[in-house]
Amino acid sequence: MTSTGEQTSTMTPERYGEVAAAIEKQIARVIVGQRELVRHVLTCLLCEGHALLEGVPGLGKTQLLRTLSEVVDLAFSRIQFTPDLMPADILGTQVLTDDGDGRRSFRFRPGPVFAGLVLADEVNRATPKTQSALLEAMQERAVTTGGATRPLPRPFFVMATQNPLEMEGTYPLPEAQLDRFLLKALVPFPPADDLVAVVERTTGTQVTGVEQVADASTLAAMIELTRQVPVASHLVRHAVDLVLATHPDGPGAPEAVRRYVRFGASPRAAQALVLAAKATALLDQRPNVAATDLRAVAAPALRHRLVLGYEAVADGTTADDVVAAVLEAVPEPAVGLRGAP
Amino acid sequence: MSAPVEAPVRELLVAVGRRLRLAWGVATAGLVLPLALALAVALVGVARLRPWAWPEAAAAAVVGAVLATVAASAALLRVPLPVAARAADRGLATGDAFATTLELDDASGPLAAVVRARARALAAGRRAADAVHLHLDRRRLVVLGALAVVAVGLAVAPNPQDTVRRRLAAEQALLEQEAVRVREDADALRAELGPPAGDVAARLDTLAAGLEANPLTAGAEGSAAEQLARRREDLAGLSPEEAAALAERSGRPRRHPDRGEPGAGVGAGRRRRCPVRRRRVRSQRRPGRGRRPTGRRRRLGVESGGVGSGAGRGRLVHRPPLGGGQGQGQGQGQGQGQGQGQGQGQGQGQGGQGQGQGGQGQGSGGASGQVGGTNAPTGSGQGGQGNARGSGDNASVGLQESPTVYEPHAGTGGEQLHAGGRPGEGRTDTVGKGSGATQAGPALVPLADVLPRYEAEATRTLDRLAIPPSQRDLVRAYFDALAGRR
Repeated sequence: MTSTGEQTSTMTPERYGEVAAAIEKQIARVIVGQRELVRHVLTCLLCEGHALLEGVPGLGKTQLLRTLSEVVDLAFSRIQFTPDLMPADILGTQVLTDDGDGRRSFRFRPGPVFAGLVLADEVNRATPKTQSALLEAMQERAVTTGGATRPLPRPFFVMATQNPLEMEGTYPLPEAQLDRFLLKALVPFPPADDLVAVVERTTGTQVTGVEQVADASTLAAMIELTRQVPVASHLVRHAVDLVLATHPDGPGAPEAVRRYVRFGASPRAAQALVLAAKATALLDQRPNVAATDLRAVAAPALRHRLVLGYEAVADGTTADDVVAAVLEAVPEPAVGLRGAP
Repeated sequence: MSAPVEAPVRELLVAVGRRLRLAWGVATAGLVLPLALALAVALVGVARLRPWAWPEAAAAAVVGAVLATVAASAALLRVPLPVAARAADRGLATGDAFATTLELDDASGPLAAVVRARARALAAGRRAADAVHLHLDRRRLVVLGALAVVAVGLAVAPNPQDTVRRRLAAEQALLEQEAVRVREDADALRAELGPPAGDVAARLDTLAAGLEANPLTAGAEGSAAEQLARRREDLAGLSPEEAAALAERSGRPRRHPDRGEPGAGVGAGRRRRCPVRRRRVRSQRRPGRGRRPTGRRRRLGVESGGVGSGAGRGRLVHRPPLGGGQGQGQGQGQGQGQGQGQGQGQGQGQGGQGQGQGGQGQGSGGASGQVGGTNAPTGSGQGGQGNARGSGDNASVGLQESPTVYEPHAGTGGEQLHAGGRPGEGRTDTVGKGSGATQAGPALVPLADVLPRYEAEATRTLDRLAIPPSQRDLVRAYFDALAGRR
């Protein structure tokens, strides 16, 4: 089932759901289990947001993103981040070319970032300087080199993987870059049954192929529809309250935040919450955002935006623990009337 | 600008709003009703300890007022549609469809129609009761039920204070009657004396108002007595003209209050004081506090009566059971109350009744009384002093041995005597001739002849006064003892 050339006006919630389900189904042919991870990646895709996948090597992070690039018809490029990777290796560079009549000129040769779907594999293995090369591309969806700003193709996604920071040869991503990822999904170790299936699929001779189920225009229409999902005002306020509660000096901040968090989530976090909640609502066949959608994406939208202090490291408190405390401290919006449900 | 909400959704949300008001009322009642019921239980409990008439009514009023206030507040509570929509979303788990629908406008994009349609579908066939459940905390219900049962049980169960309340009500009625009489006296004074009676009449009116405004209760027995005491002081300051007018109105010459002065033989009289004073004394006979002044005054009256027997208008009763008398002197003791009353008086006098009588009174109980009386040969004597408290029976030996009493009513004439006494000390100096047989006959008459009249008068007086039942019983027991009925 291939969908091509759909316009925004023709995209309906039903069609949206069908395409999303088809993408998930195709990915599931390759990736065993990991449904929540796939859902988060798909959410980022439908929001035109960047995803950061974190997990130890060998859990299929790269395989997931490669499969996604095959399912959707997007220009795909893969960048393997290494310590000696330079920014020009990502963005592109000016090269001196001979035009054939004896004149030489500099011409920009685009880097791998000029693609619809960029897989930044092991992004935290590059130096911060190289990592920062993606800042403009991720936020402005443009690249400035040689005094010229060049737009990136739309839709544009950066799907990055990284190993846990405690592993050797890793450099933590700067907060500014982390903030540009819509969601940060954790890749858990698969359960035994899933692992059995993985072994069986990958140790035989049969190669599982996937079908392309959406092209760029369809994806663009879905992205547009995602942004049109209405959100009630009290839910927007709830998203803001959640973000404010991550600040140590913010209203409603729980004890865990005051104790472990040095800096809370940025305004981008509130945007990410609402946008991801919209995609989640449509993926759940609902044309409007519910409070449960906001809370469902709170952890992946907030965890990488919290800057924890040394006490958190000393106590073994993770960002997810803090987010859980925030969710507990900021319950779903109440009706505000005694006796109401 | 929000577009109009579709009818099914609006109807559901309006119904949810009504249901929210009910839920609010139930929840609020669940919060405040335990407090109100606890207060009601306390009030009903107080009603079983104190004879106040208002606690039960106040308890019912508190609970009723709380319920009425909560019901009225719930009825007047304004529930906006967005609030109802959010409640419906939460109660029906519609994923904020109703709340979102209310905020849709023309610029909401292509999904607005989808959201409205979904809200309409969700509203179809749903009831407000499904969205808003009346949440009743079981533990709170148990507390409410227990408090209600205790409150009603205490209110319904027989209350020992009811008897006291009925008695107080009867006494209050008597007080009001007395107030009416005092007012009548005041009016009569004004009519008879004109402006000179204005001050006294005004004070009588104040007294009447005080009697009406200060009902006798177990906790406030002092107020009326204090007013009476003030009135007594007022009467003590009467001018001679006012006193003469009062005496004339009362049908006898004025006797200075509490001085024991016979005046024109009034002190030996039958204690028919002017109405003002009579009522004053009546009103002073209050539970616990009226005993001693009453006994003292009675004793003074007896002494004066002894002195004034010659005047023929007095009424003297030897009361051996309250002490004892011997001889012709007027030693008189009075022992009332629980306990033992002993008294002995002795004296000598001259005159026709120079015989002495001896008697001892002995009561049962713990109190004691002493009476000592002497009469000088010249006819002067001293009254005894009695000191007794409480209530109880006094057995009388003297009465049984001496069944005659001095009856000043039997006399119609005699010399004026003067007896100066001091208020409250029970001591009287008598100057003059002793009492003797009068023209009407002998002054000593059998007690049995006069006892019914005395008892009737005492009973009538008791019935008119706000005297506690226990004290009435004491007086009745006294007469029963005199009559040998017990």
